[in-house]
Amino acid sequence: MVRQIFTKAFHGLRDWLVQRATAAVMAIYSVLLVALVLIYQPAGFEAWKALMGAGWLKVATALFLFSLYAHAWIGVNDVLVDYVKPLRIRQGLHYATAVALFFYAAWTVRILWNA
Amino acid sequence: MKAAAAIKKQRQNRPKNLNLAKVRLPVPALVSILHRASGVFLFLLIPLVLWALQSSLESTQSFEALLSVARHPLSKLVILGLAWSFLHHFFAGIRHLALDARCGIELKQARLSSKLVLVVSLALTLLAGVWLW
Repeated sequence: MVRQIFTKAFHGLRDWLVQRATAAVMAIYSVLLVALVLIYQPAGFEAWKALMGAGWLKVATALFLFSLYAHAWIGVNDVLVDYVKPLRIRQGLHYATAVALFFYAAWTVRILWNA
Repeated sequence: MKAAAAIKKQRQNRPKNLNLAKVRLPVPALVSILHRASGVFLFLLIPLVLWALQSSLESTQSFEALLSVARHPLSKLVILGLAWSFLHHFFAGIRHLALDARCGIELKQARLSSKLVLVVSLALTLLAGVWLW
């Protein structure tokens, strides 16, 4: 029982929803960013920095990246459950993924706000 | 009990054909497995993308350094792989959302949309390649 909860066996519907909600956020952001680059055509560091430095776009970028980490968390675990059969190795990769994604999240804040 | 044992034995003797080279993969199945593969690839490249984002925003020097790294033919190959993975994952994902909404679930439409995903993402990747080189 404990192990089943531990391996997220009961979180199917929540995962399904999170996977789709984050996908929608990322899709909208991607189209938006491509449109912005095509419209402003930032050439060089200053123009690029000015574009990406806009407060609202920073928030949108953070939203995109955090959605990506949640999305990847579910996706990678699905792949691990399907292909990595030895429990110990799977758990190890499960934790490694979690650590990596937390690290990326902290790095994201640092990149965007220089915290 | 005897019948159960017979059934079990029968199950064990069923022919298996799991030779991946022999399994016929319909286009929707191909799109599906590529959705997975591209997702894993995109996940593995997250640190590279974050590093690129950081370099592009830090200073003029790091920005120029990033550009000179990106001009290397090997880098361009990685960027192209990233572009295809993103595009395939993007369009296959949108198709997935449409199927969830019971849109295009008839076999004929589902086959057509899976072909569209393959062709459109490959075509846009080609366009990215032309722009890169």
